[in-house]
Amino acid sequence: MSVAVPRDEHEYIYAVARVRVLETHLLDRATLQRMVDAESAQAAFNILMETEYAESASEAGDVYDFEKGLTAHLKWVYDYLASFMPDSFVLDLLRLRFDFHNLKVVLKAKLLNFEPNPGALYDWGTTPVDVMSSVVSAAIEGATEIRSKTLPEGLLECIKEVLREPSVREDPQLIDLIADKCYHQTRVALARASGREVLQDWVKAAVDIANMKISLRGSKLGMDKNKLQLALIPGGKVSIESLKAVAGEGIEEWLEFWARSPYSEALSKFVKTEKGSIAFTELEKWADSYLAGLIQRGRHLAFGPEPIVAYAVAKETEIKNLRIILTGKLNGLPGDMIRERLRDVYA
Amino acid sequence: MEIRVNATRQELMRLKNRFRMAKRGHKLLKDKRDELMRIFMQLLKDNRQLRQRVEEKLSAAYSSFLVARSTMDPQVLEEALMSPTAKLELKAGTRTIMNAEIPVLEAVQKGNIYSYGLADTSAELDEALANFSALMPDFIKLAEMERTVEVLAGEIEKTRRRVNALEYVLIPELESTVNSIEMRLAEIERSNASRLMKIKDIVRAH
Repeated sequence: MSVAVPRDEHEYIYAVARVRVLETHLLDRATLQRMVDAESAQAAFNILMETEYAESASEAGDVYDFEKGLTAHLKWVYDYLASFMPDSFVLDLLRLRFDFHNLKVVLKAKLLNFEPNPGALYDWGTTPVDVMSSVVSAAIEGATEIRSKTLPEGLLECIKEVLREPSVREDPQLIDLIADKCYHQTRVALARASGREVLQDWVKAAVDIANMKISLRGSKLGMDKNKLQLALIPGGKVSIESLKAVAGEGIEEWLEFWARSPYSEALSKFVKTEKGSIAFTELEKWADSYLAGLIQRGRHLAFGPEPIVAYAVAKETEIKNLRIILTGKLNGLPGDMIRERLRDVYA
Repeated sequence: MEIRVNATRQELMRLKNRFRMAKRGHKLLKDKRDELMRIFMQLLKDNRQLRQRVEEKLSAAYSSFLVARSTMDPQVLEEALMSPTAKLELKAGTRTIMNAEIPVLEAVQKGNIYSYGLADTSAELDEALANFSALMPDFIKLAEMERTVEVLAGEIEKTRRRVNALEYVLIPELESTVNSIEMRLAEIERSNASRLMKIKDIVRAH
């Protein structure tokens, strides 16, 4: 399957106009605030029922099944976007995440011989899971030429790379590390082929931030040097060689490394110098907001695929916020604890 | 209630031996009961402290897991946890306290508990798993301790029943039987003496 490339930017005019209408339905901070301050989870859910989530949320039935509602809504968003998109480029770029996630599940299930829980799969990727599953089975059985017209090149490469790793059955974490790397590389290739500057900036920053998380968490969890080098992702603004050179060092060396990177200013948001520790909750919140902020730069472009991508990212952020609020309310987390985890809103 | 036996000297000797044995057994069992009670009370205190500690840690672990869950898609969380590589090896044995067989459990954790990618999962999940993993040895210890409490409670109950049976049934019965045999023998003795005196009188009269 060849890489989709966006058409002429003027062909997105209709789709952008449709997205402009959808943007007006994004939940604003005041609504989320009302949900956080609601006296119970049911009251927060009732506020959600007054918004465009009403139809999807009613599928859930009650607040305890809110995940069903959020999942149904996300699926609806992608189906709806697909109904007026001039080409497959935007949706391919956005739905790669789901494809690579499904591929991880399929690879683990096939290599470790178990039946995956259907709840672990997204059913709105670009490639059907059964197609993926048959290609993975053929590859494991030793098919010399793994080719499929229905499987994107990035996914095929990922399968090959995973199967080249000899200890993948004993250490299934390698599947995730390799798949995450392939996912980001595929996105970078897709954005590069599009020639769109905002998109390229966005995916490269996503690579850097993924590397930041991998390096800091990996070193905190005691991941060995070889594994860390394998996990680090090329294609970002920070060179992969310089990253690999630090692999195996301690967390302080990594913090020094990132302090010399273009992301040095962000470190103060999540590095607690007095304790010498990293507030990962803050790091993740900053990372989500930073990446969403980057793509939002393209939101006001009149032509091109960027406003559509920006809308989809804003929508995913909104769903994440709703999940944080409703899980927190259902389990009686204090309002402050919920609020400090909420991501920036782009309504 | 008395034991129905023949009022003979031989029986008296046998009952007196049983009586002495019962007294000694009673003392031993009372000592055993007291010692079991002492161990039991200490164990209860330790158990209460351990349970409280486990519940606090469990609550913290669930709380961090909850936060991790709230920031991740359910599909991502499910995928992250679907292939655990960490293994918990449990060695089970027994030891005895005052003849009561109690369990001894030893848990050894091996392998990497973080068997998922780091780019799209939340660091809060690391914390939750670390908390659950750190909880495991205490969890196993608690199971061992609670079973020990259960076994000791059963043993105390059994010993208490035996002590009571000796103290309120067997010993009084033996005591009263020995008394009645002694009285019966004394009566026979007196009856013999008077019979002899009577015979002596008859012989003298002739």
